[in-house]
Amino acid sequence: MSLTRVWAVCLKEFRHIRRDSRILFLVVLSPAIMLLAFGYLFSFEVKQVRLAVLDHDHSPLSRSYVASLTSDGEIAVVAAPTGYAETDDLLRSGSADVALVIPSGMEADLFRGARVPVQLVADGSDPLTAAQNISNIAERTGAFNASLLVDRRLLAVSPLEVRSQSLYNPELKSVYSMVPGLLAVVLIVPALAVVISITREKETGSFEGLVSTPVQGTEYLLGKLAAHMVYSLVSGLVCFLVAVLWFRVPFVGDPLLLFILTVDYLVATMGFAMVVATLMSSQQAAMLVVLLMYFVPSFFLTGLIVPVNSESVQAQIAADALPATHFVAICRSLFLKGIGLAELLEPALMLAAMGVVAVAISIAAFRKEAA
Amino acid sequence: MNLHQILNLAEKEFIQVWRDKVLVVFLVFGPILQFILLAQTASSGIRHVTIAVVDMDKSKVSRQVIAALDNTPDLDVRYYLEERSSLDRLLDSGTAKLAVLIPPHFAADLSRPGGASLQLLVDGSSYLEGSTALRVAQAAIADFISRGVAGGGLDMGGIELRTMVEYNPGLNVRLHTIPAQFSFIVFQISFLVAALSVARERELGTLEQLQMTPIGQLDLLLGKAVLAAVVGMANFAAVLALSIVYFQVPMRGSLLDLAALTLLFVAANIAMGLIVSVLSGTQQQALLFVFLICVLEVNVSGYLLSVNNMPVALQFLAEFSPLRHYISIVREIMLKGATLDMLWSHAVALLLLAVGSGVVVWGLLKRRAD
Repeated sequence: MSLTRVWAVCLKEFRHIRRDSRILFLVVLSPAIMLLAFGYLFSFEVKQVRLAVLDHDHSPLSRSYVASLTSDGEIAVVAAPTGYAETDDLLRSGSADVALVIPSGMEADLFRGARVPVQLVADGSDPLTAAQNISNIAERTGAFNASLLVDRRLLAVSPLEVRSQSLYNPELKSVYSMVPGLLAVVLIVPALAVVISITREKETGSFEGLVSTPVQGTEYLLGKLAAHMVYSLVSGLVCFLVAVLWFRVPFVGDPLLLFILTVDYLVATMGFAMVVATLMSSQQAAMLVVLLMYFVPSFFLTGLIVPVNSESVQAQIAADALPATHFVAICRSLFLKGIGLAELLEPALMLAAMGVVAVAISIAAFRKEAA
Repeated sequence: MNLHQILNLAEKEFIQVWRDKVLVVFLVFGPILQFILLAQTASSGIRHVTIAVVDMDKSKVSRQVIAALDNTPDLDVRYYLEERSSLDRLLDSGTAKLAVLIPPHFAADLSRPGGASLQLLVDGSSYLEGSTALRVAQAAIADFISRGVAGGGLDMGGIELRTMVEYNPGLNVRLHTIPAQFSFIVFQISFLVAALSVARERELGTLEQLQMTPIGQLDLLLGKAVLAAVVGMANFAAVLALSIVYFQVPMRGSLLDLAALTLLFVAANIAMGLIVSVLSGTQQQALLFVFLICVLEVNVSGYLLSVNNMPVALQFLAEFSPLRHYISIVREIMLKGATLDMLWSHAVALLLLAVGSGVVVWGLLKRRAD
C-alpha cells in the first residue's frame, strides 16, 4: 500500500465532489437542513390538552374540580357537551383529546366520604399523547383529592410535597433531547454518499480506468473514505453549529471528545456503506439496501424517539447492530450530561469495532473483484 | 397517446430490471424485510421505565410509596440504593431514567404539621421516556397520598378516575406505528423507482436514443410509470397481508377503498418521483434528492408526531405530502373503519397532487426535449 496513491485517490474524489455543486450541497448542507426541519418539528413543548366536560352534577365542587385541572393552562376546557353522543362526536372529530364524565351527586357523595367514579375517555389514536394526557389528569385528580381532605379539615396541611427535578435538561425541553440525537441520523447522509460514489464508478465504467492504474483496492477504498470523511466532518460541524446556535442546545461536554467520537461513528457508517458498495453492482440496488436496511431503521430502532423495545430480543440486537444507536447515546451524553470517555467507552468501542470490521470486510471483498 | 407504445416501453423496463437479479431481490424482498424488521421490533410504548429508589427512611410508608410506583405498568423499580452517592452513576450512564429520593424520617414527618417531602429526579436527556415516567410517578404518588396516608390508612373517599381509551384500548403504540411504516414502504419504493427511471437513461446516454424513437413524451413518462406502479402495488399487497395476518393489525374498513386510495397515492408518488428524475442529471443526484425528500416527507407526515401537534406552518406544508394523507387514510380505514365519505378530503388532495405533479413533469420533459 502506498500513501501517495491513497492521497491521489482522495484528492481526485475530493475534487469530484467539489465540482458537482448538487452533490456538494447534498453532502455538506442537506444534513443541516434536515436537522433544522426535524429540530423544528420537535422544538415545541407539549400542546395544550383539549378537554370536553360532560358535567351531570353542576355543583360548586364539580366546577372547582374542573378548575383545578385547568388552573395552569396546560389543560383547557374546549366544550361542555350535554350528552354522551355529543361527547363521542367531539372525540371522533378530533376537536377534543379527552373527555370527562362527572356523575350527578358527586358533591354530596364526596362529602359523605365516598369514592366517586369519574369517567375519563381518551382518544387513543395517538397512543403516546393519550398516555401522557391520562397521567396528567390522574396526577391533578390525586392532588385535588388531597386538597379536598384539607378542606374538610381531615388533614391539617397538605402532607407530602413532591419536588421534581429534571437532570441534564432542567426545563425538560424536548428539543434539547431530540437535536443531539438527530445528529446521528442526519450524519448518515454524507457517509452514504460513499456508497453512490463507488457504485457509480462501477456503473458508468470509469472504474475500468481505475483498475488499469497501479492503485490497489485498499488504496482506492481508503482514499474514498478519507475524502468523504473530510466532507462529512464539515457537514458535522455545520450541524453542530445549527444545534448550538440555532436551537440553543447547551453543550457541556468536551468538544475534542465529540470530534473523535464523530470520526469513530463516521468510520462505522462509511464502513457499512463500503461493504454494500463492494457487494452491489448498481447504484439503484446499493441505494435501496442502504435506505431500507440502514437509514430508516436508524430512525426508529435506535432509541431516538421511542426507547428500544426492551421486551423484544430482535429489537435489542437490531439496536446494537446499528451504529446510530451508539451515537445517539454518545451525542446526548456529551451535549447534556458532559460525561467523559470513561463512561462512554462501551459505545465508543462498539463503534470502533464496527468500523474496523466493516472496512476490513469491504477491502477483502473488493480485492477479489478487482483481480 | 399510444397504448401500444406505452406497453412496449413498460415491457422493456421489466426486462431490464429482470436482468439485474440483485435489484429484483431488493425491489421485492427488501421492502418486505424492512417492514418485518421495523414492525417486529416496534416498541409497544413507553413501558417499564427503570427507576432507582434511594430509601433513607426504610419505614412501612416509604415501602408503600415504592410499591405504588412499582405497581404502575409503566414503571419498574429495579434499584434499591442505600445512599444518594451511588445514584449519580446510574443516572449518568442512563441505566435508570428516574430516581426517587425518600428522606430519613419520611414516615414520621408525614404526621407532623410541617409535612414531608419527597424528591423525583428525572433524566431529561431522553425526553419522551423521562417526561412520561415523571408524569406517571407524580400521578401514582398523588393517588397514593389521597388514598390512605392522610387518614392513617383509612379511605377518606375522593374522585376515582375510570379511564377508557377509544380506538386503541391498550394504548398500543404498535397499532399506531405499523400503519405508518406500511405507508412509508409503499411510498419509498414507488417514489424511488420513478425517481431513478429517467435519470438512469440520461446518465447512461440512452435517453437520447429513446427520444429518437416515435414514442411521445407523455407516453415515455407513462411507460416509465408502469413499472413503478406495479412495484408499488405489489409491495402494498405484501405489507398489507403481513400487517393483518402476522402483526394482527385490525382491518375495520373496506379493502377495496384502501386499494383504490393506494392506487391514487402511488400515482402521486410516481408523478413526484418523475419530477426528481427529470431534474437530475445523474442517478447519484436523483438518489440523494430521494433521500432528502423521504426525510422531509417523514418529517411532516404524522409518522413521528401526530399532524395536529405540529406547528401551523408545518401543518400547511404537510398538505403537499402524499405520505401525510396516505398515513391518515391507512390509520382511519384500518383502525377506525372509516369509509370513503369520511376520507374524501385526503382523496382529493392525493388526486390534486398526482395531477399537478404530472403536469409539471410533462412540461419539464417537453422543455428539455425542445
